[in-house]
Amino acid sequence: MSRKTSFVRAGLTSAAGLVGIGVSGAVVLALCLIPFPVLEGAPLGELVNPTAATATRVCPGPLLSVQTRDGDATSFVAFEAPTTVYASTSEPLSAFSLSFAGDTQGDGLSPLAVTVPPPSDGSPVLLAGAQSQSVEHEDMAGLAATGCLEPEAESWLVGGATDLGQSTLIRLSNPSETDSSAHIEVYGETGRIASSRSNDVVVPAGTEQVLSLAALAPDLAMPVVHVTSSGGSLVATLQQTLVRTIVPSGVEVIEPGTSANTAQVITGVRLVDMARFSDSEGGAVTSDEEPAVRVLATSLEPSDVVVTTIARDGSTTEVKATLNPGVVLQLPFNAVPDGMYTVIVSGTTPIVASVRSVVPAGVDPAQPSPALTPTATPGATQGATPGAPSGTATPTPTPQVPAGGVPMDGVPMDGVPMDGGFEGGDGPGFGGAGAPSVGAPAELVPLQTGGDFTWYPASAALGSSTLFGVASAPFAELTVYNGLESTKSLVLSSDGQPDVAISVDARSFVSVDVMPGAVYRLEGDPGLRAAVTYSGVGLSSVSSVRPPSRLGSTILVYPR
Amino acid sequence: MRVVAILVARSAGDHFATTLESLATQTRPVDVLIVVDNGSRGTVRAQCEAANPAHIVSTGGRAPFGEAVEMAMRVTRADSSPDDVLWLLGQDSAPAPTALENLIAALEASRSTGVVGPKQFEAQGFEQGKPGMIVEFGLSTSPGGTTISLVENELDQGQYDTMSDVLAVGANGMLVRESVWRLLGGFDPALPFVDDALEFCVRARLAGYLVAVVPSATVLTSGDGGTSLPRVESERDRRRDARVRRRAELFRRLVFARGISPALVWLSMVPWAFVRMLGQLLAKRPGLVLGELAAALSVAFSSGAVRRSRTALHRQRTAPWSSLQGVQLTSAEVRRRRSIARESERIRIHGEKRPVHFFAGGGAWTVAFLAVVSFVMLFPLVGASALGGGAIVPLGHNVAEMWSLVGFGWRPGSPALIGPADPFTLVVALLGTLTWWQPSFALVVVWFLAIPVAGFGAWMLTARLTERPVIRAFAALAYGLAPTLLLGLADGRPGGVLAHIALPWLFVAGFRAARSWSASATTALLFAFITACAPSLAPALLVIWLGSILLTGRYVARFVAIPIPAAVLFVPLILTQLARLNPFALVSDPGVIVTNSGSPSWQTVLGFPSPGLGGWLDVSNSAPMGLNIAAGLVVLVLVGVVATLAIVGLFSPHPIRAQLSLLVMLLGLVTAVGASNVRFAFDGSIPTGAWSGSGLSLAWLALVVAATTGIGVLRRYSVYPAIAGMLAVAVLAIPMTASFFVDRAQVSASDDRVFPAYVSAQSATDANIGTIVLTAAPDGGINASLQRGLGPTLSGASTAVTTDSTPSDSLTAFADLAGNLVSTSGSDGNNELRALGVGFVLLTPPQPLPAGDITAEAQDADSRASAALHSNPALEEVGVTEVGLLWRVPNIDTSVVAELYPTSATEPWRTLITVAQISVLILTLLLAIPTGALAQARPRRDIPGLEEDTEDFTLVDALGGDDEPQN
Repeated sequence: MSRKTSFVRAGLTSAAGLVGIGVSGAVVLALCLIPFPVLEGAPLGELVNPTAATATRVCPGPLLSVQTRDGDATSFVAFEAPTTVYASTSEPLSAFSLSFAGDTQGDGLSPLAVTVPPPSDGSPVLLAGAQSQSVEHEDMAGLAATGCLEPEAESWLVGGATDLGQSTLIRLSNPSETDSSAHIEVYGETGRIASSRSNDVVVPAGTEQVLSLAALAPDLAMPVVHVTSSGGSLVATLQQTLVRTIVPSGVEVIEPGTSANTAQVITGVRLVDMARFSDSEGGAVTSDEEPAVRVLATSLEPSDVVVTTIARDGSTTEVKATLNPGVVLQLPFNAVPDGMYTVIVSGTTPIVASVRSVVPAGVDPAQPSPALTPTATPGATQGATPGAPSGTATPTPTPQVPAGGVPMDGVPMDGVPMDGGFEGGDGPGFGGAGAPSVGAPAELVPLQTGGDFTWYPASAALGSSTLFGVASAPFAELTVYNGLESTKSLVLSSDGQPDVAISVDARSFVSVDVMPGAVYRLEGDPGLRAAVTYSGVGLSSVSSVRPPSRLGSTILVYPR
Repeated sequence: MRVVAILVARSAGDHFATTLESLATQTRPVDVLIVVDNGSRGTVRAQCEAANPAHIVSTGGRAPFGEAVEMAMRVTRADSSPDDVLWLLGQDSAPAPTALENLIAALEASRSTGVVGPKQFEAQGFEQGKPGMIVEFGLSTSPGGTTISLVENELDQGQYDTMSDVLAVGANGMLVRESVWRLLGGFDPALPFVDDALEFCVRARLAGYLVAVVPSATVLTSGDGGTSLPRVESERDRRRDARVRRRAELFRRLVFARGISPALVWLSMVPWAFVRMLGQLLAKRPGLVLGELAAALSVAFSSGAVRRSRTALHRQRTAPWSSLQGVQLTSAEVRRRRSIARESERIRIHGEKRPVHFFAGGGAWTVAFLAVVSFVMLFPLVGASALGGGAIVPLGHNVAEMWSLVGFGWRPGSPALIGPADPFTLVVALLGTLTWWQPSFALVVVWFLAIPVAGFGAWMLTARLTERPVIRAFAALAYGLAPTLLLGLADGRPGGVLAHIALPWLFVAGFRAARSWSASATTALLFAFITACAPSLAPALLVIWLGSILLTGRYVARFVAIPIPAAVLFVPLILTQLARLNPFALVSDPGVIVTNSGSPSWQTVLGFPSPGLGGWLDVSNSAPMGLNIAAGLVVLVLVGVVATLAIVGLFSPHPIRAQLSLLVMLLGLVTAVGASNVRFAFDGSIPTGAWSGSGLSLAWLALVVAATTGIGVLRRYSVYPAIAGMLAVAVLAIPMTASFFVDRAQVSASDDRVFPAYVSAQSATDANIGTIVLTAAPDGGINASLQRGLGPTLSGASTAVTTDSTPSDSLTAFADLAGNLVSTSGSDGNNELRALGVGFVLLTPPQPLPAGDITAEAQDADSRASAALHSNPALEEVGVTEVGLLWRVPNIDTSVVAELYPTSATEPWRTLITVAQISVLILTLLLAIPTGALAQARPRRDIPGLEEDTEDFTLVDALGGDDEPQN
């Protein structure tokens, strides 16, 4: 090979090498930088509409008073029937009583289960109801309203307490035809409570089982009760009674909130007398007199929690905290004036939460100051015409049984058993009652009460059509929160009343007065959340507005 | 004595002229010359005027030699005398001047000698006074009747000059008494091309005459006369040649068979042909396979010709059969001759083989080092009887079950689907059979062997390219510790790991494929194996195959046939996916689909198929950002070292090798990035692409090969860049080799169960029991699948199921059942569950997104399903198991299951496809089995077109090896 050809070869090799480098570099860079389109198949997804099942709701039944019998044994006694209203969009609506299991004496009073069989055409069934009971006894006083609830396999009950003066009952109703086994886990401010007793309870078919939370977890200021069932589904509620020293200071039936999630929305929260707590900035709330947000991180990871309080005018305040897993914390409201709020609790890991409000004696939460008349909210714009004119705090309740509803046998829905106005002083004017006088007529002895408190459960997103009952109470208002990104509208309707169009701006809420003792239907855009807030002088309570159990809704199945 | 020379000429030309000239110069002149113009269309006549032949006979076509002689005889019949002798010559037979004289002398020496033949020399290169190459000198047969040329292609050094009495002589230059010719009726017309002279001589012997060779008589032959078959020029000639010879042999065997043996020979002929066909495959002569059958059939159905020949023999035979003894070769003699031939062939072949020095060249040390690395890395798996995690599920539960899933049939994991199995199923079944007592153990073995065997493969590959041990060691280390292999091991990708192991061997075999059937078949099997394990590699490999055909002109059958076994395995799947209009699904990974965590492109290009750069990056974001950037730079530098060596290779003495390697690397990278972007297999609801690691295996192998050329640039000092490269890959591998200790690996030892022990216990007694597996999907839907027995297996998984997105009645019904199970429903599903033979419902934890998060929707769907199942009265809760919540359907009867999947529905396709696939594989395997050097035994000059000349492989030579001396 001559030198010349070797030069030529070297040149060619170099040129080819440079081209090789260039091409390789270009391809590698292109692979790194160009976002190549993704070719994707669509999985076979079948939208399955489950065969409609018989719709069931359980109204938890009369408030129970604890009776101590010889020694430690306790029994629970019903003393007065609640006022119940229910209705359905379908026929035939049937109601039957559940019996109390165990050491509970119903004395003829019992929880009520209402059922509607699925329509033959398979259309969805709406069924709803609510109950309320207002008592004024020396061991129990206040207003306790609750919706009639659909049985669930899992319930998070955020509320209650078992420390001094508090008593909390776990009420488990099984309306199904199979026995159900409930597993109860209790969390508290010290973490998950390891109970000395078995946490598994059998709830026989068609009964309600009542347990004292104190027996599972005594001296707990901030319990959260997690009930899971197998066999049949259960309706689980807590009944909490507070007696400060000897003054009965409220009673509440606590509904389960939504399942553990990274965001919980609690709407319809009415806070009063907040001036007292404006300086209690920061720190966990331990007093049972202060409104609080009770939060539990349910996963095994800590959760950074932000509590956002949205006021009627859309202004927000935030409280932040870090939660250790399994440890319940009560967060305060940060210098929030009196009024209606929606509270959003969001966490970095799944949490459950609810809000407690406290109403001092003699204060009507709906009219905290007579000078202030409720005005149309900024959120409720055009067309928001409340069913009852503002200012009428106590509309005359009339039994309303729309849409196939039937009144409950034996319990006349004659409105609120007491008519609000109760003048009460601060000091205990009554004392030394040894044994509770269960069932004693309240009117015989003028009783001093210490106000009332309310646990607001987290509300679930509604579908496009929802039925809800409004329990009997001096005053009831429906609050609808729109957490979505655009303005949504709804129509509120009830037999014998004009339809009310409601329009809710994004990230705000609207309150509308509703008729106690009526059943309403909400129709419109899905994804909103709502609750009915009740109030009277020194009284408050809430009942949830729930979509039909999502367990019966359409589900996307990817079969293989 | 009158000598009648019969010269059969097929064409005029130089050879013919030489022959005529030689005839004219005979010391004993020919008395009568008859030229037979056998198909030359008159050109012969013009050329032979000068020789003045007595007659010129024209056959008017191309007649067999025997017939042409017969025609010439007819013109002499009138004046023939018993003393006449015939001298048979072809146009290319140039007798030496004394040939006829010496032949006649031999014939006259004894009255009983009927036929004599000369020593035949190769005309080409024959020089007077120098020893010639003997082409033929007497014929014989084995006891079985196979023709054996007593002397073939040997230099004449007088070693055969004492030979005289033989069984037969060839037709060329044969001198035969006319009386004998007439008595025996000439050559048998049933043997028109070969063995005519042999058969004639045998009959002469049986008629009491002697046959002899005359060493002093010499005839030169060029091989293009009509006395025998023309010399083999092409593969096609070779096939025809073998068929004709085999036919003649079988025909003679039938004719010469005695007693009842004709019947036996006839009956066994066709069955025996099949055995011989397999033998031809084993001998790497696939072209001759069909000829065997054709020959046997043609003889078996030519009973008329056989009967005629047998009658003639019967009539002519006067001497006892024993007269053949002594001149027919004994078995011992035949064996001896064969072993000598084999020995000389072995010497020829070994002469060109370059030893690889596996032990002396450090290969053993490198592989041993890799074995140690493998052992240390996988130490937590020591003692495991099965693996779990990633895409690993049990291979299968018993060997019979695994093999029943091969081919075509009901596919497990779907309520009712008949479809083709993936070729990977076959790989799994083979693997599982290796450890038949516990099929899944095979994967443990694969895991431990992966690193050393992959390194060994790369070492063998580089051994073909370079002599330098240090470069080979670099290649072994770099490929054995490739990030994609280590991640494949940690992430549990059986297909990817197997493909990685096999890739270098594919190229080792592929380099020889054009030259040897054995290598070609091995390449084809490895090609099928790799595409079965990683179908996403198929496009790239096909491009490489096509490219090498175009670039090197290796269009020979041995090379072109490489993809055939893979194609046969994939055809049913290809047709199925085309029928579904879902062709992209073909590149989906076989086996269990697990969602890819989707490594960013830049990490993929660096060689890491899963995110986190194999542990260099901290994906949990707990470390400061700067640390991650630093780690990323370190990886960039380490990979850059290898890449730099590859780029240097472009300017090395082997630039073409480096160029081609880089091209293949780019193909691999494109495959890797493309694989993750083509998502047609479904992990529940999530479309999932193939694992990009397989493409990276190809890219990394090519990069390593390119780097070896770069290392070679420094020649004697190449040890330094080699060490730099080895250090780079070793450091790069450190975090990945630690992955099993720091809990980053998904693979762990398992007890070979997928389902809860409760289900396993039930399935042990009833393999048909069904389990519905429900999983909440990230979008809030529910993934539902129906498994049977012990649950999903690698042999049971198929892309026909995992890529299925076509609605069908059975799937809709099943979706409906699953949807009602996860809802409060008016139907508890009891009847449907029983009709499907479902004994269990398993709710597994929600499916995370590819990035690893579990969405709120999935949580919701999960709690919904859990709630609905809890309250379903048709189900009994078993409880929480390690894989999820389990419910039981009490008192089910699984006898219904057999009726759900009738075998008859899969026929006849199941049998057809399985038989076709298995037979193609077995045939390929027979070809691939190395059967010793004789398999290639073939005189080089037989097939000039296929000669192993180096010109044919100039481009391959670019990949062909360094010429530098070893240090």
